[in-house]
Amino acid sequence: MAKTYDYLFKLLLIGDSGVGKTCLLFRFSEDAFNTTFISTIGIDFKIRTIELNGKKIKLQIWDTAGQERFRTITTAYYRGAMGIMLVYDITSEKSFENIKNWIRNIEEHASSDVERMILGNKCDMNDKRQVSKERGEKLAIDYGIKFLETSAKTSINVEEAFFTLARDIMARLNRKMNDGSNSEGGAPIKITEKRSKKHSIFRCTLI
Amino acid sequence: MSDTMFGSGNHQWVCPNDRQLALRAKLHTGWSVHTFQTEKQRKTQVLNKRELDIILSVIHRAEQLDLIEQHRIGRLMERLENMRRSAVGNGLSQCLLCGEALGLLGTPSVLCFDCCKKVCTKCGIETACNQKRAQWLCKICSEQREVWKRSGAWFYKALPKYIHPEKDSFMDRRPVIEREEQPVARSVPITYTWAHRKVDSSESDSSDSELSDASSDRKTFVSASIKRRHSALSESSGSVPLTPLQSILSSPSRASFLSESHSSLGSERSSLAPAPEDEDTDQGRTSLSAPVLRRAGSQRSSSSSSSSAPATASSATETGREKNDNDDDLDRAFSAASASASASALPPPSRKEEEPDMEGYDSDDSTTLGTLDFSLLYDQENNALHCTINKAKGLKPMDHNGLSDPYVKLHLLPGASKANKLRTKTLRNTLNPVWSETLTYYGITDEDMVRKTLRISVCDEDKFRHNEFIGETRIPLKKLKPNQTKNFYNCLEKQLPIDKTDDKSLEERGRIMISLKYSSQKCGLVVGIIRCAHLAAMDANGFSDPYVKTYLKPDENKKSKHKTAVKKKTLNPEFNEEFFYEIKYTELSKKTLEVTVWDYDIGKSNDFIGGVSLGINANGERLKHWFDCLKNKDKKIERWHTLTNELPGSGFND
Repeated sequence: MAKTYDYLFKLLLIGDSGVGKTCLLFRFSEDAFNTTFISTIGIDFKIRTIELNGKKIKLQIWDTAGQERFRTITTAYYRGAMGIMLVYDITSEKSFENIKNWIRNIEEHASSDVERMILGNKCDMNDKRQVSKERGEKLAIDYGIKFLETSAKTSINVEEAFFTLARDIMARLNRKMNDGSNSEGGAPIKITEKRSKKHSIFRCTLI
Repeated sequence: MSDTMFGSGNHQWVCPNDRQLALRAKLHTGWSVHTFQTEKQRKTQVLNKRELDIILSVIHRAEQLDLIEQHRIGRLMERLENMRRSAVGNGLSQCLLCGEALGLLGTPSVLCFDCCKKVCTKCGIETACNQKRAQWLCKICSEQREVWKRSGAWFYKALPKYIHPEKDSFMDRRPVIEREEQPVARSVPITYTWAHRKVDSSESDSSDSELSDASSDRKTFVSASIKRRHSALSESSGSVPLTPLQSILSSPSRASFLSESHSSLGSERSSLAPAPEDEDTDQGRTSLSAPVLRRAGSQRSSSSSSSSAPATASSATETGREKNDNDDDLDRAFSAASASASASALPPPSRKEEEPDMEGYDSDDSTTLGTLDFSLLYDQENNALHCTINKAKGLKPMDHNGLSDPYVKLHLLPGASKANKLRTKTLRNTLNPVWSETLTYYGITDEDMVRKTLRISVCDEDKFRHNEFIGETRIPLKKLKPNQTKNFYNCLEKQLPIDKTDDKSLEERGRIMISLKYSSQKCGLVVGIIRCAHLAAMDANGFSDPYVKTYLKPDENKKSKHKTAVKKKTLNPEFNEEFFYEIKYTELSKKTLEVTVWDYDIGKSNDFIGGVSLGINANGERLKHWFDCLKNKDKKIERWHTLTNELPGSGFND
């Protein structure tokens, strides 16, 4: 049947190969998990429609291959993305180090208005942890990006991550469309107002 | 080719740092790590056949999604364009939209924040703005903002590519056979789409078939084009030592994709399969000729009607889509030319439709009021009712000069609220006006088609007095068949009392959740107004500002009235308020609880949205709720009730 939606948000998942981008997406879109590792070929996308503040939002989430040889294809998808998830693996120091490079990549290829978020995936594997949560948080603060530790396997924070990103895009949308015509002066005040209000609404709907 | 290729071979990807880059510049080694790559290294970059297939299939999938999105944006744009087109005022002394005179004597006006034009308060929308001061937008600018939000233009800083619904003929009429039999008259010169349930309708009409059914019809040519592309790829990769992917990327269309184009993620659709658009427009041209012909001839013509027409008509659509006036004129001329043909060909069935109206005319002993030529089309797929008002003849003169300034307004009955009023432009000083306007109701369901009646009234606009009613005609929508244009040539009648059509079925106006509890401790009835859902939209912005009133009747002292707070701009308000009626238990059974929902309006009388009565005289669920309340003292019972536009059982109350 025909499904209706109000907004289409395009999201993108990037990060080193094997950090669990596809699994995160699989968890979010199908609520399932697969332990076997199948390297993504080039690009893929999945759809899920969520509801925020009574608006139906269709998320088209692009999953990219982490492998370097697909880089040409994957970078082509940066520009259209409204939100980008930077994913690293908490059991892999290297993947964490590379986040900086990925951010640089975003700055180079993505729209300047893009909402970003850092995810430390595989947080269920605490015994093999190489990157502490504090370091992840620190990095995120340095770049002024939101951060969450997630686990696609045990379904920790996956929903929260995507909803947060979608909400941030929504907030940016409203900010832009409602303030765009106004003087710059009043804008910053309003951001905080909006955020706090949004939260209360969200809580209400949960209860 | 070298862009974005950093790092080498099998290593994890590493972005070269500034120092490395500086070094490379000095050594004149180029910016890319691959500058001195061996052929073998290059091989590892090559995608094999299977990978290419997978990637192409993903791109294909994205293309289909894009197409849906482009149609959705196209519909949003159409709506906006139609609103622009139908604006009649100058925005200074008149309301920009409806042309109503503003100023001291006229209606109050507000200034649109975006376009700085003046509009009347009915055509303006008050937006809840940041600094808590009211900001008004005219309906057009409000819609414009909405389009920017919904289309993603807010992000891409320009409107993404979209397909205008008029163009996309293949989307509307899927099976080819159907196209021959019942073309949908979509190409119309002036389409007036009022902000009738503005937000709701845009929701309902954005159909997203999620790559399943909608894609099936497109699959053929898209896959064909992919195939073509495929062969092109293999050819090029055979002759030139490029990887297939690189060949994609170096193709001109791909280049545009990689360039600064604002276009959305999936814009590679255009790059990988540019063919669909060409085919699309080609197809659009050929199939468009049919609807144009149809409307121009304004009769139920079969596709074989006049042979010379298609050429003219299709050329008109080709050239004059932007220049609507041209198109319009041409159409008009064309309809005039074929008038004689249509007169003779006017089929008997449509005569039959007129019968009740003819009777009405006969009984009217005064001079004739005039005749109205219009056609109706219910577009089932898009839930739209297109009402094309062609012309009127021999209207009764209303002004001193022996002429009239006629306009046509439409209402859907039951439920004549301002939210469902549409109107045409006013034509000055004529008794034979030709409007050729299409007014569209969006969000019309099959149920509406069974229950509702379209009232078409012709009125005379007067600047200094109330507009005068000339005549009207009514069409029960169940007479229409989905996706078939039906032409009418009806005589106008005097105004019929509205309740004549109303009494058959009460219109549903939404739902309300009420809780009832008889408290034996406090010795009284506790009425809880919890929430309402799907309320009818009473304001032109597609919302209502609802509040609820309750009465316990019979009400000797007139003290039983209670009111909730007003909830602004919502159709699903949550009240959670309780009212207490002190009353003896024995008395209670004789009483009736009347709950009404109202739309709060500033400066005007509030609109009645709907109501429900609970009591011994009620029936069905309403009676049951009342009984359950009486039976179970001190127990709170919550129930949903349907609101109707009349109070059910209100006749018993007084």
